[in-house]
Order: sequence, then structure tokens, then C-alpha cells
Amino acid sequence: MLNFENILEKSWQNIAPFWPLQNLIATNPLLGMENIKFNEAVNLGSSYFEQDNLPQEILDANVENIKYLQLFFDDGQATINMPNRRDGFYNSWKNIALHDSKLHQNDQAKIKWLKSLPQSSEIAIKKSLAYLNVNKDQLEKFLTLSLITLPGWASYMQYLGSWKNDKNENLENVKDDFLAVRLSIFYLICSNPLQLINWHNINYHLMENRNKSLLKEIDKNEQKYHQNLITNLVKNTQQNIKKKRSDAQFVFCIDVRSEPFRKNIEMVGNYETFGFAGFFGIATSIEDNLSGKKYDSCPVLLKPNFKITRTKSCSHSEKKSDKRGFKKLNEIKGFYQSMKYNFVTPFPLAESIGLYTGAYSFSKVFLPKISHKIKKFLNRKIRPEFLNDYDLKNMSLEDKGQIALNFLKNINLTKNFADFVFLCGHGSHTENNAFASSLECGACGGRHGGDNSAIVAKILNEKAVRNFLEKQGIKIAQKVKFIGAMHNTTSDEVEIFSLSNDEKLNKIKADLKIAGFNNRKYRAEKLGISKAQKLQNYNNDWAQIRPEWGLAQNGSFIIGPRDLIKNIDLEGRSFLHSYQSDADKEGAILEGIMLAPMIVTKWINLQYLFSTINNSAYGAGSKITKNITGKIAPMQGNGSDLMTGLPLQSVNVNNEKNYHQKQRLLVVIYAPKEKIAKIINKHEMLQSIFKNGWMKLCALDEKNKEAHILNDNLKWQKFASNLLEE
Amino acid sequence: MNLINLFNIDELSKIMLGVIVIIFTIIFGFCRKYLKYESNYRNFLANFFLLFCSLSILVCSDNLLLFLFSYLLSNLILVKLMVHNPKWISAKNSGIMARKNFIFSSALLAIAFALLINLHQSFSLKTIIAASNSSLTTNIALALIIVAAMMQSAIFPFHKWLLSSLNSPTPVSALMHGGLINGGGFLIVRFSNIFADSAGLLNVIFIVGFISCMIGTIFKLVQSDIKRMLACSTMAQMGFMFMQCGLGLFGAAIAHLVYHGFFKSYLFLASANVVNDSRMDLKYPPKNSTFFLAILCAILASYFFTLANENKFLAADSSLFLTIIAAIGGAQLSLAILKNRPFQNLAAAILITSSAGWFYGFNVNLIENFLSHNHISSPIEINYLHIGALVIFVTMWLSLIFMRSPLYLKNIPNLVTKLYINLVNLSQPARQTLTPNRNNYKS
Repeated sequence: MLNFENILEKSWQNIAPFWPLQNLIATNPLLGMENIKFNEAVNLGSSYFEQDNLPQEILDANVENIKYLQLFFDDGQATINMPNRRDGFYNSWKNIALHDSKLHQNDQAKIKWLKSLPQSSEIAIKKSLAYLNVNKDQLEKFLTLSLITLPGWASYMQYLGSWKNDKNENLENVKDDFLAVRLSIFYLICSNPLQLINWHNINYHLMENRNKSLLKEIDKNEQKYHQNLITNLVKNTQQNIKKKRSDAQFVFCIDVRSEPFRKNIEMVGNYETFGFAGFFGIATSIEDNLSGKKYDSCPVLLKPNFKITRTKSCSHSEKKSDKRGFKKLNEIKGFYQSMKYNFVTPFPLAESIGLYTGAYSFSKVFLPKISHKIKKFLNRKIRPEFLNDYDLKNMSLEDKGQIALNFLKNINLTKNFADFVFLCGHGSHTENNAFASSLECGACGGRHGGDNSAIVAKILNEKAVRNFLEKQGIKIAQKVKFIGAMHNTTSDEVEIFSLSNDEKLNKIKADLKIAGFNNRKYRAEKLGISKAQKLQNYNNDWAQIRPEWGLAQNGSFIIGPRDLIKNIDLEGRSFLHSYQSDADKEGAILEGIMLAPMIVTKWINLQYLFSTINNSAYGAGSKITKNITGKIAPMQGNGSDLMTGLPLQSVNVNNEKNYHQKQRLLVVIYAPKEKIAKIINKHEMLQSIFKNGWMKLCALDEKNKEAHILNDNLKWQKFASNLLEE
Repeated sequence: MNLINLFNIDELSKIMLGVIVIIFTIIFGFCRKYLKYESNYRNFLANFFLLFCSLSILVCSDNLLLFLFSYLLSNLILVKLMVHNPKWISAKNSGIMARKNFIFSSALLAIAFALLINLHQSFSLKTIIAASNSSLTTNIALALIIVAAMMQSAIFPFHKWLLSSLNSPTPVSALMHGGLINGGGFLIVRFSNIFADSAGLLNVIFIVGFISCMIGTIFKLVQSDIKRMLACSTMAQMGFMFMQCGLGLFGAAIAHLVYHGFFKSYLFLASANVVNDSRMDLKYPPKNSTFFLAILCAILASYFFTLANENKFLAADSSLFLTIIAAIGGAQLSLAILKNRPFQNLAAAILITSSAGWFYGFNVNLIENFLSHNHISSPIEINYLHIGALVIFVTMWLSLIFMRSPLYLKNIPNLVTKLYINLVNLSQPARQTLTPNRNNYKS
């Protein structure tokens, strides 16, 4: 017999976490159902999350519930905040609810009931359940249904309660608080909330027909894609023999957007590229020394091990003037806010700067480039720009050495170093885009990857670290320089974090410009734009509803040596991780890849998949009518449940036609199948993923030119190509 | 009767035309990228263009029938633009609310016009305004026009449709808040020459404006989503515009209409930026010394305001009202400058607030000057209502600066909590325009 806590925990399992807009992390909206078969989960998910006929009184309860959630979880929008927020959501709600006639309708019995609510939210849940006459058999089902009928906000609670690091005290019991308030509102507003159980039983099968055809469509898409891709991969198992040392090496994130860009770099010169998770193996939190803003820059599956402070790379006096500039800019912002959020003062504000804002809007719409240049010029006047520097004093030599060693071994770059090795993080630069962070680097926790690349480059350039590596058998010549860089995925420009005027470096920069130009041409076609040059303006274009396609159409994750796939057109649909099976005899590196980056790609793929399947239920809806509550999350229009997932414009061509292909990710690993099987056998999580069909797996043995696909029973099946025989 | 004279393009028309052209151009530039992937984009553009024409006709028309027709047509097209996808029931309901409001407002206007046409036996606005004298019929017509204007500008208690209108696409909201919502102010100023003769009606306009101003501002301060916050702010700004009309300062009201239009449409278009925009610590409450220095700056700011606005510094008429508003603005601005180091920053504060005051006056003067051919501004005697409103304004302003902290105290008085939740409830959009189940949302 399960106790109450277990039942509570179990009902929360159906809710996937939702990260706020500052760092949207891709998640599978059916994360909690990954322990059952994909097909069944799709059905169960529909029955929970895709119903459009909720009972009226539940909708009324939702309205009141959303009202309070908006007020309490506001992160900086309202000037006058909800009172007593420090007491936590439930207690602060309890205090106000007494005075809210919309809740108690001035009914003395209800007011009395509200007054009698206990301090602890857990006891309050029990009390409400008793008052609602929920019996033991119904308990789990009813709690589950209470959560899934307000799924967006419940997801945010899941994030706050179970995923957020360093949270405030008043969020301690946030999941219990949420349920306590929800059930109390049920009691106050609904005559019979238990009808939800019946409602769910009746509607359970409503979507089954659609799901049948949906699953067929997914299968069809996958088959076609798999046939094509694997056949091509099998054909190209001849390893090229390296002729000469490359002029530069680039390490990119595994992100699908790196793939076409890498190809374009390789085409413009004697360059070599690698793929590795974009946090470059350093799980860190980064704090800006001036703004004091702090964030984790690593995959959310990891906890940051280090705290690194970001400063500026400049002289002491320049640092002082930088600080002054920073303060000045902040002060100007303060002027505006102080005028805007008070009585009377917004009126003179509007009349004073109205003319200017009109001119600004005009320039933003018609002359985005010039207006950006002017703004940048003015900003620079006040605060000149310097390269970032990082304070690594919290890291021991051993720490740094290990990070460097793991990084190089993982991508199998242990000899033949080029003179320049670029660590290329990525990020998107867009303006007026609430979903901007969904285009950022997932491996950096939904942030830019530039900091991590600069940090790891700095580590690799340290003399002591080089000595450490030499002891481990990796000799790096003195002239080899590691340089941080950042690939702007919106405009395909690469910013190189080095002021050196080296001739060779300048040549590389010029080549990167050509590669960027070519990649823009390639991407413009996908975006349906005639002039590729326009993409460069998308960085600063505040009206651009779709600045880039992000990771749409992702279809595969290829773990293997770059040489073998270099000549195949992967259509920008593949995550790429460098891997050389020969150099990983024990399989430890592969195990690491399968346990971390592969899981991240799965989350991304499933987020895109479900946002495409039903954008209202699993996605964020259209950007054109979105509203942002509390500066943290999107709603639709006047007010709605939180709209988790990707906006329509990320997965659809227009409001009718899909762009993203509905399919699950195919993982292709260049390694003997026995080696892969050994790793899967070790981890129940991996077994569950492949057994239940949340991802597909293909083992590619380059020696005997054979591909094997793992089936639902975890048995290998030889891949049979329809195309080869034709 | 003169039916043929359809148009009369005066200075007011010219200014309104200018605003319409600029705002429509900006929003067109925005939509051309923002909405280009929508399947009904062509339809949208057609309506957008039609609205542009209809509004242009409205601001230029002399014939009251044409005026009424274009007034109603513009609003109906706006509703069409608001409801981007009627399958989304909440959005459809927002449209229904707005449409009802506009039709009712047009009906009131129709009655008012009928009375005026009948009284003066003319369809010409110019003729009617020239011939008007204070009579019961005129006053009834004017009262109806006031109510119609209130509905158009979402003045309390007709604000609900505006707070429920955010199911619209962002650029449509920008168009509405920068454009059509100002229709009320335009209506009153169109008839300003008749209104100027009736001190009683001016006071009515002043009072309804003041109420809306207060309520809108308080609503705004408790909102936690960006678009509703902006809508409440518009409600307050419209209230202020009405107050300016009520003070007889019609030119200032038009200046407000123009500049607020640009300002608010910008804020809507850029509303997605809020995600990265964190609130600064304004260091409330300020030290006493800081506050007194701020008052000093405020006096300078208001002095330069009147200088640029070609007013007397301490005039004994209703223009004094705006001078004091400028002073409050100046004080607030200098507080932000002085907050960290009051004495070191004093020089900067004086310089900045004085020039800001001058700039403010200059902007207002720009529009007023242009309109002055119409003898459109006629400050009235200052009365107790005005003084009362000022006292309340200053009190509220001060209390927000000095008394914000009690809200964060442990024991908040029940009365405050009660007030807070009532404000929140009053500022909610209409129930039928909310989307409590995300599956009822349709893109």
C-alpha cells in the first residue's frame, strides 16, 4: 500500500518541468511517461493534455488559480507585489483568499472554512481532499487530474520544486503549495470536482483515431529517412587518409545547426572540424563581476562544479572606466523605470519622449542596421567594449587538467594539433524575441556558449595544464593556440575572442566570412528567403517573427569520426558528436556520450516532435498573440495557462503547414554492436528508452560495412536497404 | 442644408493625418515581417489599408454623416483586425465586446449629431460649431458626445473592453493603443469650441478623466503581465488626456494624444523585450536631504517647462496644473539621478532635469503652436476640483515613493490586503475572453 507522500509524488510524475523564458530548456512534455511504450504514452498524453472540453466549473477554478499564480510568481513585472510573498505561495494565498469575494462569494461558511485552513500545505491538501470526499481508491487519479488540467503552471512548479538550483526559501514546498491552493479553490468554486474522474474515463479514447494515423505518419517518416541516411552512411565507410596537417581545427557544439556550417568551413580551406557538447565539458556557473548576475552554464542534467567570475580583459584603469560606464548605462535605465512606474510621472514621460520613440520605432522597422549601429555607437561611447576574461582561481590544476584531458580525449584530438584550435560555442542573437533562449545552446543550459568556449580555451593555453597533459601522453607544441569563439546561428558570423593581428589568423577570419556567406545561402533557402544577405540583419530586427529555424527538422544523432560522413548531405538535420571507437577500447567515452549528450538530443527531438503534433497542447502557440506574465513565461492573449513548449513559428511554415518532420531521433553510433550492447545492458535508463521506442538506435561497423538496428526487444537486426538493391 | 461640403481640412486634421500616416507606416513596416507567414495576411493588409483610408476620412470630414460613417467603419474594421482567428473563442469574445462598445458609442454619437443637425439645420461641422450657443439641446448633444468619447477611449467605467482586448495580434494592439483609442480625445477637441463655453461640462470631463487616471494607474501597478499592464497604463493616459480637455487645454490634450500614441505603440511592438529587462532598485524611500534637493530640481524643471511652452511660470489659470505635473516629473527624474550620491550628482541633476523640463515644454509647444490658428486652447480659471485633483496626485505620488515598504512588512493590515485583491479582481479581463484551458486556444 502506497502512503500519501508516494501517491503525491506519483501524480506529479506526469508533469514535465518548464524552464522560464530566460533559459528555455527543451524537454519532452511526456517526460514522466518514458517508462511506458511510446505509442501508449502518446495516447495517455492525449487523454491528459489534449482535451478541449474541460468541465465548466473546472475552467472557472482555473481562472482563479491562474490569477493567483500570476501574482505570486511574478518576477519583476508588477510594481506593487502580492503581499506576504515571503510566506510561500500557499500561505500568502490563504491570507488574501479571506478577502477575495470571487473565491468565497461572501458565503460565511466558506469564509469560516478558509479561516480554519492549517499552516502546512501538506495538511491543507489532506483537509481539502477530505472535504471533497475523495476516497482512497480515487486519490491518485484525482490528484493526477488536478495537475494535468492546469498543465502549464504545474510544469513551472515541477521546475521550481525539482529542477531549479539555489531557490529562495519561500519556494521550499512549492509543489505542495500549488496543490493545496488548487484543491482549496476546487472546494470553494466547484460543486463537484470529482466529476473529473468520470470526465477522463469518458474522454480517454477520444483521440485514439487521430493517434493511430499520427503513429503511422511517424513510422513512415522514419522509415524513409532511415533508409536514406543509413544507406548513405554504409556506402561511405572508406576512411580518408590525412594528407597534411590542417591549418586550423574547430570544435563545434553537437547542435544540428553546426553541421552545415562545419561543412562550409571544411570546404573553404584546409580545416578540420569536431563535434562536442557546446559546454566543452566544464560544468560551471558564471557570475558577472559588475552586474552580479549569475547563471549555470552547463546541461541541466549536471550540477555546476565550479563558480567562475567573468571580468574584462583590460588594464586596471580601463576596468575602472568600464565599471563607470556600466553604472551610467544602468542609471539611464533607472531614470526611465522611475518615471514609468509611479503616479502622474508617466504622463510627462510619454509627452517628453513620445516623439523620440516614434522616430526610434520608425528606424527599427525601416533602417534596422543603421539604428543598431547608432545604438551600439552610443553604448560604446558610454561603455567601451573589451574582451571577456575569466577568474579561474576556484579551480585547482588537477581540475583544469582533467577537464582539458577529457575534452581532448572525447573528440580524439590527442595529436596532430593545428596551430590554431578554435572552440566554437554558439548562440543566437535576436531582438524582441521572447523565445530567444530556445535558440541558444542547450548544452549551456539555454545560454550562449561563448563563455564556456573562452574558459576552456584559457585552460588549454595554461602552461601548467599543458605540462599536466604531457604527463598523460598528450603533447601540444608551444605554438599551438586554443582560442574561444562564438558561432552566431542567426547570422552565421563567427566572433573570435582574440585581438591578435596574426596574418594566419586573419586569413582564417576571412575564410570564416566566406563560410558564413555560403551557409547563409543554404539557410536562406530553407527559410524561404530570396536574399541570403538579409539574414545578417535578423540579429537586430525586432519585427522578425522567425529569425532562424533553430533545431527544426532534427532527425538523427551521429556519433562517429567526421571523415566518414564528411561527404554526405545531412541536410542540417543531424547532431554530430566526434567519436573514434578504436581510441576508446573500454567504451567509457561512448558510455559518457550515451548518458549525457544523447539524452539532451532526445529531449530536444521530443520537444520539437510534440510541439509539432499539437501546438496548443504541447507548444506555445503563435508568437503574434502571446503575452508574457511575470517576465517568466508566455501566455496567450488576455490570460491563459502557461504555454510551455515551442512557438508555432519554430515548427510550422505558417498556421497550417508543418515544417518540422514528425519523427523520433535516430542515433547512429560508429562502433561494434557488442560494445554498444554492453553499455545498454549496464543502464536501465538506456534499456527503457530503446525498449519503449523513444529513440531509435543504429550501430554502424565501419570495418565490415554493416549496419544493425536495435529493435524493441533490444535485439540487433541487420539493416536491409531498399535503396541499394534498386 | 449643405450636404456637398464633405471635407474641411484644418490644423487639427493635418496633425491627425500626420499621426495616422506615421503610425500606420511604422506598423505596416512591422507587420510586413511579423505577419507575413499568416495564411490570412492578404486579408489583413486589405483591412489595414481600409482602416487607414477610413480614419483619414474621419479626421478630415466636415459633413457629420460622413464623420459618423467613417467613425463607425473605422471601429468595425479595427474589430476585424483584432480577431485574428475566430476559431479561438476567447478572441472572438473580445471582438464581440469591443464591437458592442463601438456600436453603442456610435449610436450615442448619432443621436448627438441628429440633435445638432436639427438645431442648426446644417450637416456641416464648421457651420454648427460657429453657430452654436448654449442651449439645452446643445448641452444634451455635448453630454452624449462626452459619453461616446469615454467609450471610445476606454474611460472608466467603460474600460472593460480595453482590458479584454489583448487576444489581438501584437501589432493590432499597437495600432489600437497608438491610434483609435485616442478617438475620444479627438471627438472632444473637434467640438472644443462649443465645450469651451460650458464650464460645467468641462468639469465633468475633468472628473471622469481624473477617475480613470487614478484607477488606471493603480491597476497598472498591480498587473503582472506585460500587455495588461500596458492596457491599464493606456487607460490612465486617456484619463490624463481627458483631464487636459477638462482644463480647457485642448492643444495640450492633442499633444498628449500624439506623443502617447507613438510611445504606446512602440511599447506594444517591443513588448517581447521585457524578458531580459530587469527592474532596477530605485532606492525608495529617499533620504530627506535627497528629497529636498529633488524639489529644488523640480522647480527648475517646471520653470523651464513653462519657458519652452510659452506660458507664464505661475499663471493663475488652469495651465498651472500642467506646470505642477511637470514639477512632479522633474522631481521624480532628479530622485533617480540623486539617489546614490545626492550632493555629488546635484549639478548633473539640475542640468538634466532642467533640460528635460525644457524639452517637455518644447514638445507640447510644438503641437500647440501648430494648432493655435484654431484658437484651440483656452485655459480656464483654476477651481477647487483642479486643486483637489492635484492634492490627490501629489499624495499618491509621495506615498508610492515613501510608503512602499509597508507592503513588505510582516503584518499587512487587512484593509490593505482587501484593497489589493479588489483592485486585482476589478482589473481582470472579462471571463469569456480568458483561455483557462490551453487547448481552447487556436493559432
